[in-house]
Amino acid sequence: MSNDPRLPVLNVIDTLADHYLKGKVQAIKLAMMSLLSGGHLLLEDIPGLGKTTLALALAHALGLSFGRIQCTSDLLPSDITGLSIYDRNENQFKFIEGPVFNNLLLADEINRAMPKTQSALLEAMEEHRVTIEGKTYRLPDPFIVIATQNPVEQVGTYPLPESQLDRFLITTGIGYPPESMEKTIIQTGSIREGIREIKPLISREELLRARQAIRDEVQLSDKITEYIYRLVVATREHPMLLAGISTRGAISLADTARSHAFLDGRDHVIPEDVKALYLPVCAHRLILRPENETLDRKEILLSLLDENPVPLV
Amino acid sequence: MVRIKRLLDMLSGVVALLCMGPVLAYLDLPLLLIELIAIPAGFWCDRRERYPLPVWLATLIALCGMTLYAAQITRAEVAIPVVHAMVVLLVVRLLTPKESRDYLQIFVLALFILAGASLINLEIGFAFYLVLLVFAVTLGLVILTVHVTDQKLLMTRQDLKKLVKIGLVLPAISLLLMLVFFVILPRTRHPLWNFLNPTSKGKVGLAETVQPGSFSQISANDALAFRAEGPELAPEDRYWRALVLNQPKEGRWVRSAPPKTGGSKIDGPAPLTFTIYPEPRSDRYLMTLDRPLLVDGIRNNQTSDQMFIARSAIDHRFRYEVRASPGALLKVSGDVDRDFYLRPPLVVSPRMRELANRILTQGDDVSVRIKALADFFRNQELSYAQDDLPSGPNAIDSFLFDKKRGYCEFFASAYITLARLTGIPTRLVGGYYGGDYNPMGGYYLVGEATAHVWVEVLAANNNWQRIDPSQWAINAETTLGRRDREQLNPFRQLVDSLNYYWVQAVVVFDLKQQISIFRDTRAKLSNLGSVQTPEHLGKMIVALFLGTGLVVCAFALRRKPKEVRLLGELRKKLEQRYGEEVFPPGSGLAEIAEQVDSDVCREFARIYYGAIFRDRSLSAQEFSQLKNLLKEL
Repeated sequence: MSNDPRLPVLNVIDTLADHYLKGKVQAIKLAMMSLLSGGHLLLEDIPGLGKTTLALALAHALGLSFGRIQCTSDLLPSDITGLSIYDRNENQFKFIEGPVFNNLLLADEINRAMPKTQSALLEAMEEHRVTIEGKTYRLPDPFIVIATQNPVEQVGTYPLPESQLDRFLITTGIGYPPESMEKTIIQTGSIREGIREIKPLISREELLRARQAIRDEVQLSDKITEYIYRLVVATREHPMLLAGISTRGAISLADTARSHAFLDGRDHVIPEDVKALYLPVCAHRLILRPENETLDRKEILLSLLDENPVPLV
Repeated sequence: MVRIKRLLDMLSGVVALLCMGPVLAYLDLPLLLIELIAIPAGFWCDRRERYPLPVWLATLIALCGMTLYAAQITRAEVAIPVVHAMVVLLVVRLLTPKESRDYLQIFVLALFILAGASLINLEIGFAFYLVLLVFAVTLGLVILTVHVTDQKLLMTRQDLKKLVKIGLVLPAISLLLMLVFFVILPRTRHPLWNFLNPTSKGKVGLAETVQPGSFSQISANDALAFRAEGPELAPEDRYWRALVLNQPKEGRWVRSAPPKTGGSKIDGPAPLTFTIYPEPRSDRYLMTLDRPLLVDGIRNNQTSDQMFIARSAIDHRFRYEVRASPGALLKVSGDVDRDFYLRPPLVVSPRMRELANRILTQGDDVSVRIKALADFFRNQELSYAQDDLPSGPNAIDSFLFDKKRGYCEFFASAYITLARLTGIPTRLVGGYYGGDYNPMGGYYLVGEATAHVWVEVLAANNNWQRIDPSQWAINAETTLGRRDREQLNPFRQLVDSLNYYWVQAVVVFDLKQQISIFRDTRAKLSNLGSVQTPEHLGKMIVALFLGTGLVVCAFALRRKPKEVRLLGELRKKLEQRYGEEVFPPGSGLAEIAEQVDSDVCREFARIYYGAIFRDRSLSAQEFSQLKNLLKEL
């Protein structure tokens, strides 16, 4: 085993991108960054582009314990957190852990769950613990939620409020694969079967070590801090936005930029790291003014990136 | 964060203090004390925002002070009362609440007080205070422009630094310009503002009469009489001649116009040239080195007895040149009105008359009598002193026979009285003896305390011969010529040299000197090969300006950090190669490198980013690497 904490992480990305999830490098990288920064990932795209496939592939490759919830409108909070059941033999209540007690939790189609259930999950995401019947249980570390949702579908969905979207570190779409890639996929068919055969490529310890390396070794210079601050403040002052990026959003941007630099093999963050993550980290946190509801948040952020000069000196 | 108002309060205190510097010695003591208290008190009031004086009272005090000092203005004395009145106004301003215009008033008053000081005294200290005040007032004005927009403004230290920088650059430039203008602006023979001070008081002056015994003690006077630039002299040659007294009148010796003589000839070694810088004085006598031949640089009349008298008052600083031949003989051709130089005082004590008669019996030869007189003085064991002096009408007699102590006037008057009684034509010469040589500046510093009187006797072959009876005092070695003046220590020597150069270069810089500088410059320029025509001069001036411009540009370029210079070069190269839009402000270097797909550019971004986003500046090695990459582009 090499000493470089980057290698296992890169191995995961390369393996998944080359063999299983062709044409989804960007999404895989973002997912890995979210993982390395200890945040949660929201995959947002229309059905059939491989959201669930991506989440499954990640779950298999990471070698972490894995739980999955298929959200529906009748899903109850206890279906996620677990519940106490009366054990007749022992004559007492016994706590059965729900799927949330896993390192990696896939919440498929999260916007189909009722707000009550959503908030139970989101609470667990933020606090890393659940309280059931007066007793608090710690969730395992690392604890990462990969949620998917379909932004187009409207019937029978409960869209996540912005305040709860803020809990997700990164939101990303998947997008259609490139033409040649898509043709190959059409030819070879679905790869769901293949995914089950993915062996764990990275251990929990290696993941934690990579996280440690990011925290300790990647330098965030004053200039970058200033740059992030300017980008964040720009959203707060933007006339089309009701609310801009929160301080938590700014922290998230800095953290993910570190991960980006780490994956790039640098020990310092450069403006390009920040620019690469500005949209995935910030877009879902913006609240548009009612009259501007139809605008694309990403377009606003792109214009801000153009307006704010990169710190070069 | 710094409050602008606090800064202005501090500056107004500093300005008030600076403008006091040159007038300190001329202010009334109570006003001076009030002023010195008012500066910190005003600052304290500003901090507390509580003021002791109600506005009506302040106005009243200002009016009273103005009236009081305005009443003292006379034709002869304008500057000092006006300065006093302005100081009163300044004190009132300091102690009352201040708005923008009040700060402005304080600055203006300070400048006026300094201008007033220039009418009183123009020593080098003035230049020192002027420069500091110009800096402080300019800074104050710059800050005031900010203060006018918002009185409660707070400033970060960085903004303040910028502001101070601007505030300091302005006067620095204007002072440099002032230096140039000082040399080239046409000027008059006299200071322009001279008319304001019609009879500026001379600080010093020789006594125009010699009357020993009129007071029992002479006070030491530390004032400077003049400076004389020239070579160092032997002690016996340091006689600075000013004034000849020749007639007794009611117990004093005074000057009356000497009888006409046939002319005189000075015989001696090659003459020396001294440049004399006199302090402003009330009389018109020009100091020369004994024996003077010629005074140049000021319109003057020469008398038959080697006195030089300026034609106009010496109430400002100027300089003149003296050619003199120390130790030369002054031979009079033709007859001398011997009776004129033999008239004794009306009242002579019996003891002196008896002594004179005794000497007269020794023979007819003048030189024998002169020697006899000298012997008498030596044998009397007189001592040179400035206190416990004989006084009254018989002072000379008492000096010679009883007290046996006195200063130069006693020696000289005793000698001239006895000499004339014994038939030796004699006259008194007033001037200075000695002086401290300042090797740093190469000049003599002659103080008022070295004022001296000696005699000249008409020896046998019509030679006027200098005799200094004071030299016969038993303590002449230790006292004469260095009375109450200690040897200047190096520091005072330095300060005096500075003051000397200031006077020499600035205060006495007049039209004549200006013309000579231009003439010299032209001569030097025309000596530069064949450069003769004015067109060449024009070209040279243009070249000079261009050169200065280049130096300034180079300096400005060097001032930019190397990172900025590198980026500028990169931008230029990329724009040349890939077009104008390749370097938008929102793009990073790595992004641009990807965009233009250039490995060199990627490498540049890697090294450059590696330095500045690790919060350090480029190392020399990285800098040269980047330079090479730029060449490759």
